Amino acid sequence: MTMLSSKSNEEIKRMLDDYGIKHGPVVDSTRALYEKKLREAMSKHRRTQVQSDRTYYREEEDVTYVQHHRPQLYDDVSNRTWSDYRGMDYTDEPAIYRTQAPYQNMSQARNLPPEPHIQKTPEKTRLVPVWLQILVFLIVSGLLYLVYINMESAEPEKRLT
Amino acid sequence: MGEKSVMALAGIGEVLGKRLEEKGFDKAYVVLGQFLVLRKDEELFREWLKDTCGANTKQQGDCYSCLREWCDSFL
Repeated sequence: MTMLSSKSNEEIKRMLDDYGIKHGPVVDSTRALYEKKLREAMSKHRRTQVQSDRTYYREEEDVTYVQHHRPQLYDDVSNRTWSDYRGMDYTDEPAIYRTQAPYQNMSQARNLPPEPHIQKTPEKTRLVPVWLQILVFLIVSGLLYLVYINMESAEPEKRLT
Repeated sequence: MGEKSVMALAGIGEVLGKRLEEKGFDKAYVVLGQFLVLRKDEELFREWLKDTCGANTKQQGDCYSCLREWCDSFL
């Protein structure tokens, strides 16, 4: 456990830079503020680190652990979809985490398709939701296909003579 | 600004002023000093003010604007 109060001003400054926290000089009157900001950044960093580690370890002991911590973690991810699944029967969810191949489960567990997907992606806030990206991609590829079809019909059929 | 009390600052009334004085910020210029040491950054200063004397959002904003304007004019 790091004792921030025992660190020198220089070390505090370095830690603030490491966490990307904008700051002024670390002096007596600003020390308390920066220590508080560092503590917040450290606990947030630790929380996201532990969560991302958990996506790779699908052991049984972690099943209940993940369930408890999920509400904290997925605050930035669209709460709309998440609240839909809070009411779900929890006996279904452990089945997803126990198996080794989450992508296979995506087709099997149709009732909860987004969950393995959300777990797989690293915990970064998304500006554009994934489903929207896929939808846009499908629309664009559909349009290109239409263009291609039209071009094909415009050309006269060539015969091999 | 001279030797004006910390309560001369916008947003700082009796209650907040007393709390600031207890922490050693007994004159307006001392809070100004803190404002400058925080690089005149709004977010940092607001957070500091909230932690030090429990100022609410409006009081933080008033004090920040007050000091900001003073600096823009005189510094």
